[in-house]
Amino acid sequence: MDTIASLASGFWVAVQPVNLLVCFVGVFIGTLIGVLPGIGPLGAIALLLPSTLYVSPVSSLILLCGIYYGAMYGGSTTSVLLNIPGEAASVVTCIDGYEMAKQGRAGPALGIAAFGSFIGGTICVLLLALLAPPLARFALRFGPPEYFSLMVLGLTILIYLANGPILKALMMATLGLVLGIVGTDTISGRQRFTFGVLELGDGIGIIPVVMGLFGISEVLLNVEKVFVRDVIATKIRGLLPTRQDWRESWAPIFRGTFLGFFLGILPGGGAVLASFASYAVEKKVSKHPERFGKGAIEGVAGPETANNTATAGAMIPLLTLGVPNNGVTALMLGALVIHGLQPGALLMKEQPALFWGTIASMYLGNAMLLVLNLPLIGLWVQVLRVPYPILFPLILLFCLIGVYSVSNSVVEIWFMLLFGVLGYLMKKFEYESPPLVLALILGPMFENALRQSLILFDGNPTVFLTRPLSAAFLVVSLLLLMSNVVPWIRGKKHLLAEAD
Amino acid sequence: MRRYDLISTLFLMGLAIYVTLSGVRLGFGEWREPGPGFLAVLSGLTLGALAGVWFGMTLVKRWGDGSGARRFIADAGGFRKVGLTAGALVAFAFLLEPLGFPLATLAFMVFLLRAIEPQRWGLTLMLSIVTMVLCVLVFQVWLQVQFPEGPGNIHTLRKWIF
Repeated sequence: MDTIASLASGFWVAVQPVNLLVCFVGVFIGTLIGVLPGIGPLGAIALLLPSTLYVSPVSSLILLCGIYYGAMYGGSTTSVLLNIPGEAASVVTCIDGYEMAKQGRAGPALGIAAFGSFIGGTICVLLLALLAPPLARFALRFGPPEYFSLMVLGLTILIYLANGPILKALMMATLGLVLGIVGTDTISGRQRFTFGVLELGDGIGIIPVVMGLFGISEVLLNVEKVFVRDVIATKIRGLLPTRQDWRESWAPIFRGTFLGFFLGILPGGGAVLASFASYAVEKKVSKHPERFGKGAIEGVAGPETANNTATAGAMIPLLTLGVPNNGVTALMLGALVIHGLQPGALLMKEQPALFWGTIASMYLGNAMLLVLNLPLIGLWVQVLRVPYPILFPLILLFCLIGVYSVSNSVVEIWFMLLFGVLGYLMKKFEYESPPLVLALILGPMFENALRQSLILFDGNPTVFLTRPLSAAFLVVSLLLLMSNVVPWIRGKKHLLAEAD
Repeated sequence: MRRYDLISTLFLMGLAIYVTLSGVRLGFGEWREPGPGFLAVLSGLTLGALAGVWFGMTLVKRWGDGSGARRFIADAGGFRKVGLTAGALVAFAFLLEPLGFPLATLAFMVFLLRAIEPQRWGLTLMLSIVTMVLCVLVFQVWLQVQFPEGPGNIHTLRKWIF
């Protein structure tokens, strides 16, 4: 009953004119960003972070959430029409979405993506409202060892999901931890790896790193080659899916909803994992798996629902534990900290308007996406027709402005350029950026939890294994690593035996 | 890929040694009271070990598996474009303070629109000026971002115009 009353008060907060406006602005910008390849939700949130200073904490969180799930939806447009994912979570939509577009069914593909996101979003708001309060109460039992082990689990999941060799992902995560050390030590007050640069006293900012690794490096890679985009030329009509489409899509939408939501909760999980997992599940359970890759609507409905609902799931660890599980939620954490709020177990109790208002706004935002984006698909198609040689200077300019406006310092621009070049080289040398970014974000919390645990428990490192919850997180981490390493070692042995 | 892996892991091993030694200098502390260099030492050692393992594995891998022949940049034209784009970014960072935001933005846009895939002069100038004006209005006037002063600053431009 309390939950219903709280949710109702959340809706009251969300329907305030200013919050409706920022929600609309968020989903609109998010969709635009999702449509444009290159920036992504992280870059967009980084760009708009300074503007959140001018609104209340609840409005700023509503804006950022709107961008997040708006981008998830927008990404599907480029996947379907261009075969280029607007952001990573829409990669899998290319497979069947683009095939549908080639068959003249771009409309139903885009339509089912919007309906799936809306239905999934609606269910997720209820799930969020039901699960967040008990989890927040449960989180009160967490001490530094549990937080430390939870962060180890988050990093392990991201490493486990890496596309390349696990050792390379581990190296990047460790490098991220090293970068996270930079700045003033919170316990002793000593400067670490700051090289006399004043701006490094507070550590390496997340925004220049993210903009550099994801924005600048992506543009550098794109300008290297001739960029040809072939927007599906046929007129998009009939956005409403047919009865047959609905028959084939309702089950994937429901499966995608729950899969996306629960995978979104996992630290290091999120929309990318959710969309891939949903596609795999749909192909597995389908009576006609041979249709996948040839324009099966289930291959669009499931992943597009899952990547949207994962954004709702991702809010749970942020709002109840104060632990961001990906770069986007890390920036949201940053936005709340800028406003003097500390997300965590007590947030729901101390800031109910913010907590429930955000949850309710997610429902309204999904409704806005549905109402606005179906008629606006024509506009997004026009945006897609802007040639890349005209688009990329704008993307670079927004990155430069975004970084400068957060700190008012040219030094931060230099950091961004440095990480841009680093990101470019990392892609050339086939190292992945996400483990580095998550480790950089979690680094300071990771170090504090580790050192506090050791200080509190008299330097006894077994404390992480003797406390049940902490041990459980570590065991799951170990199992994940082993499940990746063992088959790899077996493969190597097999190769060696063959060579002999 | 073999050559790239050897280069990158050598760099990472060097970095790991530096981080570990710096961590020792900062103070490792002890297990019951970890010092400011505690995590630096642990992560430096871990990074070094991981890079060392990957370096060793790459060394024992046989040459000529085909992947080593991949070129860093597909062609010379691509290299030129990356260089020019990176150069434009560096120039913007250098020129932002002396020129001010509007002029630096204008120069940045004109350069990139002409240098990478040259657009017509008319289109280049129109796009650059529109971008500059919109950016000034949105970021400087509306969002009150404090960009550096300079001859091309909004206040100076306003004086010139009015």
